[in-house]
Amino acid sequence: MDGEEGKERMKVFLDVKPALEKTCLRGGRSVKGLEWVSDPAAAEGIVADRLTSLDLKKKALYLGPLSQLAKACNDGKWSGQWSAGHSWRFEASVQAVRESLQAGQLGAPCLLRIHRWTAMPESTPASVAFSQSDRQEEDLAAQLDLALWLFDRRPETVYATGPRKNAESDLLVHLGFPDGEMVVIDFARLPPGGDYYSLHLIGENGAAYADDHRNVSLLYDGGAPQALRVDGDTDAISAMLGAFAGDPRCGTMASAEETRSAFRLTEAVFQSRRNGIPLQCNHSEIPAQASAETNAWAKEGK
Amino acid sequence: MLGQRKGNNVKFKNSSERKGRSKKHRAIVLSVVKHDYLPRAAAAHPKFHLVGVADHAHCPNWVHKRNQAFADEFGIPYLRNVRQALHSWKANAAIISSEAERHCELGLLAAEAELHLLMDKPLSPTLSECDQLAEAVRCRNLRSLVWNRNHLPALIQAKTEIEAGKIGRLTAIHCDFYFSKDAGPRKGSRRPEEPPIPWLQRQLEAHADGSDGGLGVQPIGELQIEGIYPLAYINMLTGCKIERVFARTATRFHQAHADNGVEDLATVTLEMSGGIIGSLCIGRIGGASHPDIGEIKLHLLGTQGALVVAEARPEISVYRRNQPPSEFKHRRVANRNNFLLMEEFARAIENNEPTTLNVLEARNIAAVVQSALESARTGRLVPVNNIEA
Repeated sequence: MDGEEGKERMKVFLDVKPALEKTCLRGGRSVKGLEWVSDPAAAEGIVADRLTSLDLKKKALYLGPLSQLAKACNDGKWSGQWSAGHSWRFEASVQAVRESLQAGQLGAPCLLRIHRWTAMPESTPASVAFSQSDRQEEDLAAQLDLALWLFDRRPETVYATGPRKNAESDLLVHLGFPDGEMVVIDFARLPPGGDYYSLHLIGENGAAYADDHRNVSLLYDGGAPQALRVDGDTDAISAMLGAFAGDPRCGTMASAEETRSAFRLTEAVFQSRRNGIPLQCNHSEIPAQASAETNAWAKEGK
Repeated sequence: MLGQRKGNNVKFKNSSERKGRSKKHRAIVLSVVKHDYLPRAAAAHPKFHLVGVADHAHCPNWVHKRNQAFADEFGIPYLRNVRQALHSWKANAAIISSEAERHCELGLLAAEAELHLLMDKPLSPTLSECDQLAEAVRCRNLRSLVWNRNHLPALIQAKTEIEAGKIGRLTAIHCDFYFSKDAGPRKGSRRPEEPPIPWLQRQLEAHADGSDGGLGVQPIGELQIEGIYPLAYINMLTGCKIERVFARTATRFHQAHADNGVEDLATVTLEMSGGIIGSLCIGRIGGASHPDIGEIKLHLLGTQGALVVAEARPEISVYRRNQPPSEFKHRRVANRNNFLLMEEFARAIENNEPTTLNVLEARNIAAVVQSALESARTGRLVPVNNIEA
């Protein structure tokens, strides 16, 4: 199925919480190669937010906590058929950067820098927000997945540190790769309001910059002007569902195995942070990401 | 148009800039073979007067030619005898813009003659020489200023916002400092039968476009050549010392860097006093990687908020037919960095005021760079050997 007009569509059963259901239905509307069905038995694929609902015989997109998928993969319960539903790979800006890289426009990647700052919820006391949470782990794993995906190789060195204040939530991750490639990612919490994201990739022949700082409108309604980010909030979900439905133009899903790799790297990051020293990575512990060509999902030609 | 827009940072020039009638400081130029923007900034400032250029007689001919050319342009003498010039020209300040490896030697001679020091960056590739100079300046109570970019409008704004407490107490500072300049042939372009590129020769060729920051016999990488700029930002904005570093370096872009075993790309994790963290991504990443001089940004995090700063702002854009590829399409405006540096150097001399980057602070930045290079070699977290004031 390639998502084009006239081709067969993939029947997919949706088994998620109501809030997520709305997002999926909205995102799925623009995916031509996908058809939502109400009968699980008639479905060829399943989109679910919990592992217990997954039918191993069907293709599945898992939207729940990535850590659980990684754990299940660790335990040998899940095969490479499964896809992880983190949407960062499908952000329009991230996709554009990777397309430039894949097209050879940037040359070999040398340095990836990411700033990932998330706003605290309005009602969250700082004392609660600034505690290490599953969300932080998920977020970290998603960004590390991007690093592994873009470099398509494993780091040899991991170092992580954080400020004494906000020690639990703010994190600086520094990865080194065997041929000198480097990754620096910082995570931080912002006051309630907007998030901030910036990713740039320096290659041997060029560089790509994806930065919220560049993509804002200015709103004047009295007082200092406000910067309003210009973005499309369903694009990433649509692209992810399109990829799930087999449209190669939509991008590459993260496999369960790749998600496991990202979580192993996440564990190394937390270990380095706890111990305050750089870790030399055992390559067998952090498997390389599969390239697009070898990705199990893509290989099936779906 | 000065002062017309509400809420911006444009200010009327101060009185000394307007009048320029106060007593002038007599500055001797000790070598001007690399960046001549230091003595030019001094010459353009109403409080400074260039009395002459001096350098050692034993310097190679290219050094004398450059010194002589500058002296001729400004109608001042060039003397091939540093000690004699220091003794006879009755200067009270020295401007040093030699190869980086000679900065401290010339600085020491000037300090021994009781001259205040205006020095090009980096202070020196050799930390022990920085130590000697810092001690010479300290024990004679001399003023010193090492060239930096801390008075760029965006940096002034960042400092103002931090000092006003807009983002609370600073917890993290991240700096991207990429120069999108080429530096000779691309890495991998040298044929096997060709000899390695001599560092000095490459730097001499680079003088034409001003990208000869690494001028000297001793090859130095981008951390040493440019690292002082972002590290000076961090020094100014945090007021904290960098205590430990973890770094990675690589040579990915330029044949001259590869042939001489120095990095053109580096990332450094910074752990500072007061529990602040930071990072630095720096490199000379090739002319194709950015339409202007390069992506130079600061990301600042505090307990109450954050600030994202583009160092190049304010700027205007000019696009035109037949625009040369080498011409920047975005041009910085309202930049008085050079004037403000000279202004503060004058105030430091006259009123014993501090400068944005004195020799001791530049020495500690050199220590950070040395630790970063060691970390990159060893893969370890390396402490920084700071000296307290």
